[in-house]
Amino acid sequence: MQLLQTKPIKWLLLVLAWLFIGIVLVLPVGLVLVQAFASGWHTYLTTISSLVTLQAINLTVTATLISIVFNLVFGVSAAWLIAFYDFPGKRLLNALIDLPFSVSPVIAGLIFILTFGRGGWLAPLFSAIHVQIVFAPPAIFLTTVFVTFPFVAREVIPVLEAKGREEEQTAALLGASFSQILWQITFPAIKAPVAGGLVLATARALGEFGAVAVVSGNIQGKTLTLSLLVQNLYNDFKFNEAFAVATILLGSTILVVLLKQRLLKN
Amino acid sequence: MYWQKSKWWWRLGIGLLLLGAYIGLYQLRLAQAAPTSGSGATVTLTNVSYDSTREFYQAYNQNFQKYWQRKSGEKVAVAISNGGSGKQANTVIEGNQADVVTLALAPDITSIQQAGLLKANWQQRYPDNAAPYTSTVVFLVRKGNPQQIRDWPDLLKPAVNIVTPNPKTSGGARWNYLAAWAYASKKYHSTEKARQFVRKLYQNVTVLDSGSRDATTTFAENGQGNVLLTWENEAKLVCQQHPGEYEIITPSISIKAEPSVAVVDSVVAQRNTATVAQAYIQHLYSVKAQKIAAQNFYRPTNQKVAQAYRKEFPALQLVTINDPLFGGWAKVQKQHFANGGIFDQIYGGG
Amino acid sequence: MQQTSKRLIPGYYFSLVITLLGVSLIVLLPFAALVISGWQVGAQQFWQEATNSRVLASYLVSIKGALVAAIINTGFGLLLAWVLTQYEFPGKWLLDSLLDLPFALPTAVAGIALAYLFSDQGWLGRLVVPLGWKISYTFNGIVIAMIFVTLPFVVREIQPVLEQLDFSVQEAAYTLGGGTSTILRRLVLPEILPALVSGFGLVFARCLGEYGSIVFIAGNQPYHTEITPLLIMFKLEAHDYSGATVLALVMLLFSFTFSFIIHSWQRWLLQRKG
Repeated sequence: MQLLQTKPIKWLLLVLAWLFIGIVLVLPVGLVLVQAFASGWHTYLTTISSLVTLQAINLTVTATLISIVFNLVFGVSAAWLIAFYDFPGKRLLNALIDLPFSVSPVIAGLIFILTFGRGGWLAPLFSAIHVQIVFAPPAIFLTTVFVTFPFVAREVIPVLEAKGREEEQTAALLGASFSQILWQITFPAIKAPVAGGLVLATARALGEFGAVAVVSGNIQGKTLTLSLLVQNLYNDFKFNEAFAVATILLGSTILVVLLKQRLLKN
Repeated sequence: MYWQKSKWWWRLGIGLLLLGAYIGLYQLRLAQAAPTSGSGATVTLTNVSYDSTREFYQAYNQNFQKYWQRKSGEKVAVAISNGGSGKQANTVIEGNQADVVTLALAPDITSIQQAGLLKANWQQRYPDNAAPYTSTVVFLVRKGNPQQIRDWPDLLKPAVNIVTPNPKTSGGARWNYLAAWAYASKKYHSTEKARQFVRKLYQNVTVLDSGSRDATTTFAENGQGNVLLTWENEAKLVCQQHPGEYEIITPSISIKAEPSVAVVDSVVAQRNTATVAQAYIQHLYSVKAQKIAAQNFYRPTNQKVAQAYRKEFPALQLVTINDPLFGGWAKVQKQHFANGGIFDQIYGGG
Repeated sequence: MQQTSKRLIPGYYFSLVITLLGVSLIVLLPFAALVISGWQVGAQQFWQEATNSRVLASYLVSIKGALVAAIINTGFGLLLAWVLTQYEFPGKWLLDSLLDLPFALPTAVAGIALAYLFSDQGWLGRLVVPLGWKISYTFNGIVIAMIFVTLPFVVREIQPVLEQLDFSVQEAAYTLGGGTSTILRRLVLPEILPALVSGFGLVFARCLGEYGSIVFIAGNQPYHTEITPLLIMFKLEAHDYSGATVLALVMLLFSFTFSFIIHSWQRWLLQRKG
């Protein structure tokens, strides 16, 4: 092992690592920043404070918040169920939870159109109560929840399984209530993975493009999320504006990443 | 301990302040965006359009807002959606609540009609086949025209790399394909020769993007290919964006591209917007709107306006879709673009 | 007795109901719609749609791209994880943080930026033009986009394993005369192989489905640079739902089979390790 710890090898590997990251990560991100400010601060500020951008921020933030709440509730209860009990079909359930992760975003959009679109089998129900699902915000919320579906559950299940059930069982035998066990025993143990999963879900929800593009309908001020707005501006020949909006996403990503590191440290 | 507590309060305070500032900014922008003062509720219209009309409808919507408020006293806000024409039609069929559709070609609106959302006579309800503005297909080349491209046959030279959207996915690109077909048929008077010609042309295509705007970006921003086969208005827009970098070559024969417009009957009935939606379409034929179209590089259908802008739009032989050569959209769709049709046959070999 | 010991902890029905509700509404219901509409296509048409030459070519492009990207990312992922866990160097936290960016940068932004960067006039594209290389609008562009999007996956799988690895055993082996390569092969590799395999699987699966970043950089030429998700999108845009459904089902079937193989392989590796 000493060989790998020698100076030349260490430096060689370090240079390789930085070179790789530099080319495929730093340069693209740097390009976004340079292009965003290429036509000056004024353009930048007007773009990110324009009504269309603000409306896109509202929609994106709403979709993200909905996904976070869903992920929290669903992820923790799925982990609780899978880690603490034995029941038939557990592996199937596990596989179903994982499913959205390996599905192409395009397919994720397609299935919601097949379900809620005009020809879809739930369409009569929703048109009877005059609720528009596809090409309206509800579909954006649904697809965002779908693509972030497994994140918290995936992070929490292994931790909870590794921890075992003994503490909870003992507490239950001693007469502790459900909420006592949840808040005083289980939750402290899974805080880190819950936070980690939420961070991933937030990041994904903010940036999702493919699935949302299928169900959005691209209506300005109504169904444009930030990443769709970037694409729309790009198609408008407004490259600097497109990259300016992209910096909002980039900035929130960096915030989320910093938050994650903060949480991991504690 | 006390220190930590106060830090926590600080953070909450700053957070709330930022949130407040954000809401304030949002309300301000909302107020600014609202049409000029006046009482009464605002009607919203959704116009589902295709890629190359963004700039035009942004200008037109402002004009229409003023016009409609003057005429009816009603405030109207128009939301616009842009994308590939076929895809846009599809979203309307699947439930996108469009009051009006302004798409690149008639068959896309016909497919909405076939889904039962508008009446069969939509194309007769407005003048000029419900196409208030037209365009044609031209070549955009880099400054100095290094490949010396003058007309269609030059596109077949081995050194030429063409960028154009895919006619199977982009409605707009069907016009491009048909323009090439029109030239070859008029020139060689033989279907077989036309087929050969178009096959060779598409063999020179290096990037076949899915939408017309994607193709424009690929050519103009990312420097692919040496000729962009595209609509005249799109080409002029590129020249406006990048002055002095590109030249437009108008071929001897091309097609008359007629983007169609319609009111979506079932949506306006449900939303109670029939009057304003019809006015929105009708107003496209007004002199003012025709001028806006011309300023955004669409050929006006109003003769007077067309006359005024004739310097902008060179005269050339324009073949229409109803020319015996094509025999209307229904026939063309079946013959050329259906699965296994001529386009598949000539491009299918890869 | 059996029953009570199994479900000693309260909250079984509560968590069961929430979980089943979530899975049914978000996953089962839409997928049922997909399977049903696939069923309605009919076997013969299904076969035709799934195996026409352009579609077959797109499978090949997708699979080839995903494979190349997965191999590259597995290699560099291992390197990055090694560097991050074994060495101390200035800017380490920065490297570590940068790795999370692809998780969150919208794929459309990534695609646009990469196409710009690697096009003939771009910062990097310009440098490789004299070498006769083209990246944007070729198969290489697809691979670059895939690499970007899945960059963190392998690193984040291997990092925790390498962190927990107790190198005193390896050091002991070294002092007893084992060469570095022997130690790596015999002692380190078996430890990280399961994580490496699952990382590879994640990258491959994600690459197959990737859409947003690739369309901007691929050139999208049928038979050459057209990926299967794009074909699905085309069919959706052309209102050909049965065609889109068929391709979606084929892709799903493939990724299921693939993840089943990866899972089994991983289980086998873990069992062998003991």
